[in-house]
Amino acid sequence: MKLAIALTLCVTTSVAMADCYQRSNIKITQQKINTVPTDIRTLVTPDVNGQKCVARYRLHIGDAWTTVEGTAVARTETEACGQALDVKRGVALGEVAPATVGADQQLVCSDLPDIRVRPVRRGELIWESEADLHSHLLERKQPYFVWKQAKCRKFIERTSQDQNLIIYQGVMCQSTTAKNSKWLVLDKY
Amino acid sequence: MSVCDRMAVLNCDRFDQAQDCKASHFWTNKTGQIVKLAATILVAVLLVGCATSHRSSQALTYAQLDALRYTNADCPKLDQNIQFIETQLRLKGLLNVDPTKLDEPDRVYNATARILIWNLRIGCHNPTRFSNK
Repeated sequence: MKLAIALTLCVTTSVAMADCYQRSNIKITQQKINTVPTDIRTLVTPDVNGQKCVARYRLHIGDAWTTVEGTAVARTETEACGQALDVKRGVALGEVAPATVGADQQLVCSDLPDIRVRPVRRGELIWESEADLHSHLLERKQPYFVWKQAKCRKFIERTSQDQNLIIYQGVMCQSTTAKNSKWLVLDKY
Repeated sequence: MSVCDRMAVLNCDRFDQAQDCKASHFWTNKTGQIVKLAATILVAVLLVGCATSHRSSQALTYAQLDALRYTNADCPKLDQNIQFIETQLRLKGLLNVDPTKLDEPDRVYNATARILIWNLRIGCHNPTRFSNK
């Protein structure tokens, strides 16, 4: 009985903590994409035709980071996830308050920690899309550069203080050579 | 022998004044040491103060810093150039600071210096990317 209560509490807590998105029908390829998929998280499940991979990742589209989801089924996990990461298959996930979702709309909820742009500190390890792309034209054309054999990019952070808009800049580098590794904030100024 | 020391010796000539004399000599020596110590501390404080003041006045002004321009030609002296800008930050007390805790002039100075440093680092390691801000 105690176990049942504990499990119910755990489930209730996890449901309450889940972040929900409205799955849109916006085709990603019709938007101006500034980056390749980053901060990738995948969920692989067995399927009658092999493996089904649901990939959730972040793309910088237009002027903002967007959470995108792609799904694919293939014989192997690698193939399925490779296809799921094809941006042509991706649909944008729009953040919504659950009350605004209509009967004909799909609501996608997940316990995965939500990734969004936020203030960062020097020395912090972050997801790439937690820091905005630099707005300088050159940085938009070539966002990445090499510094001490690491893949790095500049970022920008907008904040308000005393009714004043303050724009910080900074440099962050991928912490390891692994494709989906987190980024280390080297400097912020 | 100082005047004070000579006086102490003279006072010690008389036996009946020996005890007072010893005490007096002790205090004379002690006072001398304290005076010397105080003088040393004063000189040290003045020297540090002068040094700091002198070095602070040598830090580039914001206008001078903002006028600095680096190109690929500066890459052979990359370390020296970066060290020079870091020295300006050190003189301003901005070398390891949290930018969110700075006032506007310091934030602008700090940002300008660090933009120069990163432009040098990035530009010299990725020659096609050299830019001025």
